[in-house]
Amino acid sequence: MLDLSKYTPAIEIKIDEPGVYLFPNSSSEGKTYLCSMLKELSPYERVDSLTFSEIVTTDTAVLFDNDRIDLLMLDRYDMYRGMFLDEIKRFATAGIVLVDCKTYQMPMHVKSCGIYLYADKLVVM
Amino acid sequence: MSLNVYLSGVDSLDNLSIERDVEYLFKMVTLDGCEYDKKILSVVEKGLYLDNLYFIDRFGSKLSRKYISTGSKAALVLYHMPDVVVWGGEVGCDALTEIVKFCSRGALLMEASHSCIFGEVDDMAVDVMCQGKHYTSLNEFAEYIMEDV
Repeated sequence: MLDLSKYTPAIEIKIDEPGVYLFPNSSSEGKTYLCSMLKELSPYERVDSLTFSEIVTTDTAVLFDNDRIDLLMLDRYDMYRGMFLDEIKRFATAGIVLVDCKTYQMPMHVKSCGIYLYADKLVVM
Repeated sequence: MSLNVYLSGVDSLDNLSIERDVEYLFKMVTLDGCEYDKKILSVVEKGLYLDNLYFIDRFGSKLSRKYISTGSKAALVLYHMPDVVVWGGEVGCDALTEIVKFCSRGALLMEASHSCIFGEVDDMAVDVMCQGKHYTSLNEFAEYIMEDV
């Protein structure tokens, strides 16, 4: 299990198994906040994130690299729906992909996860 | 004036100019602290309006408006840019419901088959135009979206 609890705010990722995990279809839960925190930590931890404004400049070979990271979050995936599907499937065989996707049906097996925002930590389970 | 709701997959969208990126649109919105601004920041963000640049989040922290959630931004864009058809594909069901409850102007394109509106035990008055019908009941509109579309 990834341990990002030493940071402030702490991030607890209580997911052990590789796969694609979809957040619930709700607003204002802390998803974009999590995305920005994971991006900030990406130089130091085996995590990374992607949001819509970054898709043009992102090198997918670097982003979806299981040797580099264990967890990847895709924020606002509705805005770039259908992109990187092969890369997502391949990465999710050994890593965790968290996806914010409200109105697009991902063409792959997905699981559900929840996100819980507190004053001093953020929990994903 | 009413909130005009268009349904993707149901309404003809040929003559509509649709704006999909609410994060980008929100950058052009000026929050003026009207009752709607305060309501959305309260019910969706669980926070408080402070001014055009900052809000108070649910934990009492002063945050830049850029940290307002995408769903809240969509709600605010709808109200402050009523001439734009705003895509609601990134808006969660909870925020969609609050938009229907409190926004009585603007134009929203909903993904009909993937959207939901929650009714309430005590029905509320709304002002929504959809498919040529004027809805004044939240529960009636919610039932239409959830069961008939």
